[in-house]
Amino acid sequence: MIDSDVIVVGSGATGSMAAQTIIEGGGSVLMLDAGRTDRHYAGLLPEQNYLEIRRTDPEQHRYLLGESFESVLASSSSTGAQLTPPRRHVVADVDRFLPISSPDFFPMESLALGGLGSAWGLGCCVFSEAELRAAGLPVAGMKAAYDIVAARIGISGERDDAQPYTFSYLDGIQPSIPLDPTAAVVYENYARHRDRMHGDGFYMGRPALALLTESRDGRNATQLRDMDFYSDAERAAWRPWITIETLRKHERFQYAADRFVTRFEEREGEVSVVTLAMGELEERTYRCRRLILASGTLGTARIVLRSQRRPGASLPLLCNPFAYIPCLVPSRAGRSMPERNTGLAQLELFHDPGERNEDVAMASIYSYRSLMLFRLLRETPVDLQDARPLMRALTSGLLIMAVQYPESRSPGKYLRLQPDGATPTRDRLHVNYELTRDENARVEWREKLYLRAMRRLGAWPLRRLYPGHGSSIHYAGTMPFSDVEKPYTLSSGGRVWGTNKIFVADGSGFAYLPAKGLTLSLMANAHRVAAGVLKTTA
Amino acid sequence: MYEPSAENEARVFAKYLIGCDIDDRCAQLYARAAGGLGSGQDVRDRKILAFALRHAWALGPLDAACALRRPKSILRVKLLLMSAILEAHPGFSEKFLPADHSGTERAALLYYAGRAVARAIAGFALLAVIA
Repeated sequence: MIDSDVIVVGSGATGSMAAQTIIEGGGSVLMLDAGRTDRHYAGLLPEQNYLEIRRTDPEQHRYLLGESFESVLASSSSTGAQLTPPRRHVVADVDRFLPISSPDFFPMESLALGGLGSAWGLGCCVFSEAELRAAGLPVAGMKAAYDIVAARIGISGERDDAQPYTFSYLDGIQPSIPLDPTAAVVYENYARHRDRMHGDGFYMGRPALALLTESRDGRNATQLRDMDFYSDAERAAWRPWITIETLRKHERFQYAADRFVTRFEEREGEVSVVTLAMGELEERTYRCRRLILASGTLGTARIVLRSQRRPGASLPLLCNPFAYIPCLVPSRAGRSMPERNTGLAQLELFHDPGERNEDVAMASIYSYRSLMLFRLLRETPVDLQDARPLMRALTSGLLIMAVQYPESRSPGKYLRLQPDGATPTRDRLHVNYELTRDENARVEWREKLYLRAMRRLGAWPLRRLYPGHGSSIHYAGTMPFSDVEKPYTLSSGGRVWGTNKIFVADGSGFAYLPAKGLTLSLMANAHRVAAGVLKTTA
Repeated sequence: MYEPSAENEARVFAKYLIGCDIDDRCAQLYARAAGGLGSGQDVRDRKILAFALRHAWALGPLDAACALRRPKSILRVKLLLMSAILEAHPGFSEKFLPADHSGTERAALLYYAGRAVARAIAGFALLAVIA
């Protein structure tokens, strides 16, 4: 007895896109999902803007600090520590169901409805043809898929020097959000030094964001309430749950929450998908004709390794090296902030020394808005009585630059599944992540160039923070696309080697990981894979 | 060892952090939040906390020294917690939000920076004596 023609595992950015493609193409989908949600904080959040809330709401501590004060008391290096309390459900149950052992890799995974897409920074980038080829992705297929996905989610941005790296050739782009005054100082300096910046390989512009600045499809334009790190109530930001909510109105779509998929088995024209109920750990098997795995690169690796047991199997891993660099714009220190804006990225700074739109590094630049001062005070080596007025004055001039570097495969980066009887799945993912000397040298070289570029733009780098490998939250490459059938690879259509009906729609197949924001490309690939599955079903 | 109630502790910390008296609700909030922290596991940290609470004048130097030498000490954790609670209180939030600074306020920043250095030096000496 078949439960559904197609089963999609996971409700994140890739799972939701794959499911939408199948449904729009006339197929039927059962989505199996852990589906953790926030059942508490959403109801507490007022509809005012961030600064109004801060000045008026006596209950603000409940959602700004957390009911258990978890924002303050959790270690700043713990998984998801950067998440605000209303977003912390994104990492709920992860330690229990997705255990990892690693000396040097600290990833963030999710079992939430919407997956990591529920906390995504909304940055959208189109990979260049060179990047697509290096990743093993078909250029024509991906270009068509980018168009479709961009039209579904809605993107705002600007035609400027960053456009070739952000939304590139895409049409239907809405106007950008207004520029924050601190970021504006840097952008004006960039305009003044544009030729020299280009000579050094740097290109700056506004980010492309999956954020509506004009209402459409029952979603509102952003009201710039500066609550982006807390709430999606306006539906201006695209989140996977918005797509899932629409799909759930469709009779050919079923959604089963509280199901944790452990493994699959393909036999006699059908696929069995084994799940655990997340509470009582009761096992239940679902059956389908085609299976699409969209559990995130690490989650999918676990499922495939469990299902295709090959002794000693280890898979390669890609993850963009990452650093935070807080910078100070002195002329903006000690100033008030506009009431309305957004805490999302204000600017992007791309480093493309070859001017070929390949091997590009990317820095997203945020102003320090809508996050509380205590997060900075915690990191300040000064007594708190003096730190408060000092940091309060500095915050208006503070820009946080998050730099990502492109990533290729190398021998020290791999993962494998190890037995562990104490976990619900009786195993644990072991990850080793070590950059080669050459890779480290290249990252350091680029970092120095970024520091110099920011100084030229009037922003003084204050320090360099390395939150640890894995903190870029960009994972890929465990089962690279391959033209040749070999273990733990994917066909160009996303089919898992050695199977006929198991497909992967997340980043597992990307053989190279550009530094550009990954999510739009993941969604485009998910659409492309699902469209292919639809054809095989037909 | 001197151990004031958590609510009194909140009042001492708030006075130090922002120079204001706080209402009962704010103190109770701190008491609830700090309830699980106790006085810490580390004996030296407990001594530092007790000394700071017994001698309010020592809070600044000890806080400054701990910020550099013992950033995860219980004194530092509790002060940060109180600071966050004050920040999330509409009556005090303006003291934490960005604002236009006058010339005098800008000059005062130099004073705060200098005081922080002086406090750290004094705090190192105090730490050596206490712990």
